[in-house]
Amino acid sequence: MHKIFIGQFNLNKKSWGFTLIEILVAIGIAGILLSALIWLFIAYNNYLNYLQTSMDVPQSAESVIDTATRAIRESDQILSSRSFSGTNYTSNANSLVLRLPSVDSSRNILAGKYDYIVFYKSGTEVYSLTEADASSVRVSSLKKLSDTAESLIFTYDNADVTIAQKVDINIQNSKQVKNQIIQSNLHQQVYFRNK
Amino acid sequence: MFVSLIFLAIFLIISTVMVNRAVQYSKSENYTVASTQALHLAEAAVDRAFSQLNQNSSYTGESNIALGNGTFTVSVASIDSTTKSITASGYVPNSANPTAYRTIKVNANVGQSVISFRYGVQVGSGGFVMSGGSTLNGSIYSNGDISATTGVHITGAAVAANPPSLTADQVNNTPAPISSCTSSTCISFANSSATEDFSQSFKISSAISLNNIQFYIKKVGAPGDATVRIVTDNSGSPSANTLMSSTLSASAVTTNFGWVAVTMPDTPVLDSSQTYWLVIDASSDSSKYYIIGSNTGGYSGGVAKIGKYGGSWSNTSPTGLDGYFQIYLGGGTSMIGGNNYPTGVYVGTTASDDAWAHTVTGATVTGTIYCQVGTYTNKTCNTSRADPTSQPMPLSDNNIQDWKDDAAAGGTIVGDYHVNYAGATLGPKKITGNLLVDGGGTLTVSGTLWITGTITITGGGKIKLASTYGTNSGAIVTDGYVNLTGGASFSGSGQPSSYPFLVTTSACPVAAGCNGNDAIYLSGGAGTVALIAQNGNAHISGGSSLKQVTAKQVIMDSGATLYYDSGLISENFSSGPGGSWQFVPGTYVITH
Repeated sequence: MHKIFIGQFNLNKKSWGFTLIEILVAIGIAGILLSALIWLFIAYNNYLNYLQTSMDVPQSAESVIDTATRAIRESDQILSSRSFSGTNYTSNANSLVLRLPSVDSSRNILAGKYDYIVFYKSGTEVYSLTEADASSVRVSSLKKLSDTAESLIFTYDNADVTIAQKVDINIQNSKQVKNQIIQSNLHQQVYFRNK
Repeated sequence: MFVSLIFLAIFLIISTVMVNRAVQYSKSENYTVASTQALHLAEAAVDRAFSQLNQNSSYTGESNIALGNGTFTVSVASIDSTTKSITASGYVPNSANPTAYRTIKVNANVGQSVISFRYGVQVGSGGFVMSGGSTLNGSIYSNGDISATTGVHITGAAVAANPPSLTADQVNNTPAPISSCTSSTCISFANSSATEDFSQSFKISSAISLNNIQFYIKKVGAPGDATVRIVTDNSGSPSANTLMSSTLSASAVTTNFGWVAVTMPDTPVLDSSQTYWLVIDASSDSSKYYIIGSNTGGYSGGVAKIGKYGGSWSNTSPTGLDGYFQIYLGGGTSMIGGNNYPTGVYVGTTASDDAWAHTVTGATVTGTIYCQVGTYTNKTCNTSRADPTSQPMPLSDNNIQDWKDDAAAGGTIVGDYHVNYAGATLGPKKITGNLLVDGGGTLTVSGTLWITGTITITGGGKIKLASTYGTNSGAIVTDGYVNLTGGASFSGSGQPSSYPFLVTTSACPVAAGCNGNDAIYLSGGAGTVALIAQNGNAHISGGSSLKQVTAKQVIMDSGATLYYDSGLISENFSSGPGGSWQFVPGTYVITH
C-alpha cells in the first residue's frame, strides 16, 4: 500500500523542518512579543522617571525649607541688605539675608562674631550662600538646594524686616516629565529663637 | 518558555528598583518627619529645664523622659554663678535606636536689671508731710509740697518741684496698647545711622511751663540711655538748635511697650504759636535699639520724622506717621514749709544743703533758699533758679511687671502664706493671697516674690535675702497694702549693696479695699530696706530706719525719724539664683 504524505513530515526519512509560513508566523509572534517587551520597558522606564521626579521635586523643596528653617532658628537678626563678595542681597519676598552668631567646633557661641547666610532663587534654582567668620565652624560656601523651584516667597510679620519675629517660607517646585507636570508646594512658618 | 523567563526577569528587576526607590523615599520622608519631631522635643526639653531651674536652681537635667512620639534628655551645666548652659536632645522614637535625633544648646541667665534711685526720699505729687517733731536724716526730692510746720528737721537738702497738670496738654496715644508692630504702628530708630534718631513736631496750647514728656516706647536688646531734646523748627524738620535736653533712662524702658516719662532740668515756658520738635537722640546699633508706638496722622499739631540730630531728616515710611507721646504742662507751684514763723522747718546742716521751691515759707535754711516767693524765712529768696521740675518715679510700670513675671515663673502658691517662728525660704513665687510673717520668724527670700494680697510683718518678723543674691538686690512686689509693725526688720544678702526692695502697686489709702490703711505703714524697726509705693502713701511713724523710700505721698509723724544711706544710684536687681532663669537671646544653636 502506498502512503501519501501531504504536508506531513516524512518520519521515515528522518527529515523534518518548518515551512515558510510557520517561520513567518513565528517571526511575527516574536516581533509582537519583542515590541511589547520594548514598549513595556519604555513604559516602565517612563514610570520610573515619573516616580523618581515625584520624589525629587518635594524632596528638594523640603531641603530648602529645612535649611532655611534651621538658619532662621539660629539667626539673631534679619538684615535689610548685605553685600556678599560684592553682590548686594536684600531681604524681601524673594530673598532672605540672615545674621547668625558664629559658633566654635563645640558649638559654643563666639561673642561678637557673626556668620551671614542669604537664601535666594535664580531661575529655577534655589541657593544658600554662606559667608562665615574665619573662626566659625560654619564654612563659607554656595549650596544649590533645589533646581526645580517655580517660586520661592518669604513673608515677614513686620514691614520693617529687621524687627520681624516670624518668617513664612512658601516654595513651589515643579518639573515636567513627558506630558505630566509634577508639583510640590510647601509652606512653613518659622519664629526666630535668638531675637 | 524562554520568552517568559525574559519577561519575568525584566518585571522582577523593574519591580525591585521601584520598590527600592519607594522604600528609600518612604524612609527619607520618615526621617524628615522624625527629625522635625525630634527638634520640637529638644525645644520642649529646654522649656522644661527653665521651668525646673525656676523651681530649683541646682537642677542638672534628666534622661530619657518620654514625651509624645519620642524621648528627650536634657543636661544643665553652670558657666558661672549667673549663667548656665542647657543642652537638650530629642529622640524619635527612642534614644537606643532613633530614627532621628536633634540636639540644641542654649544659655540661661538670671534676670537682672539696673534701676537708678537718685534720691533717698522721693515723693510724688502727693507731697511730703512732716509733723510731730519728726526728723528726716538726709535729703528729699518731692514732686509736690513739703509740708512741715511743727519744728521738724530735714538734715540734708529739700527740693519741692512744681507738680504736673493732671491732664496732658498734647497727646497722641490711641489706639493703645499696641499688641503687634506693623509699618504704621511702630517706628524703629537707633538701629542704623540713617534712622538713628526719632523726632516729633508739636505745639503747646498755652504759654505754661512744660513739666514732663512721656513716650510710649520699648526697646530691643539693651540700648544705652538716649538724650531727649526740644529743638526749634527748621523748614519743617528739627534744627540743631537745642533749647533744652534731658535723659531718657534706658532702664525705665523695657522690651514691652509702656509709657516712660522724661523731665527737663527746669520748667521752660514755650511759645504756643511756634512749632517745636521733640528729638530722641540715640546712638545706633542694629541689635540694640528703640521702637516707639505710632499711628497715621493721629496728632494734628505735628508729624514724626526719622534721621539724625544735626544731620538730615526724612519722612517716616509710610509718610505721615505720628509717634505716641504726651506733654504735661505745669499744674501749679510747690511750697516748702507752711508756717508763719521761721522755726516751722529746719533744712540742712551744711552750706550746700539748700531749699529749692517756688515758695518757701516758715523755714530756717542752712544753705541757699532758691525761691520766687519767700516769707518767714531766715534768708531772702535767691531767684536765680527757675522752679524745679518734677522727677519721674524710678520704677516704670513695666519694671514692676517684669518682676511679677519673674516671680510667676517660679510657680504659684494659692492662698495666704504664713511664716511663723519656724521660718521659711521662698522664691521665686507668686502668692495669690496675703503674706504674714510673725512670731519672730524669718522669711528668707531666694527669688522674686509677688503677693497679690497684703503683706504684714509683725511680732519680730524678719525678711532677709538669701546669700545667693550676692551683691544684687531683690524685689518683693505686692498689689495690696503693707503693714510693718512690732519690730519688723529687713536685711540683704549680707554683702554690700544688697537690699530687699518692698514694692507695692497699691493706691491706698484712697483706693477701694484699703479700709483706711496706707499703702505702706511703717512703725519702728525696718533696717536696710527700700520701700516703694508710687501710687499710694508711705506712712512712717516712730523711730524707723530705711534705705530708701519712694511714694506718691510720704507722711512722717509721731516723732518719726528716718535714716537712710546715700542714694542708690545704680541698683542691680536680681530675681536670685534659684529663680527666674531666662533664655539668653543669641545663644540658641542646633548642634545636631
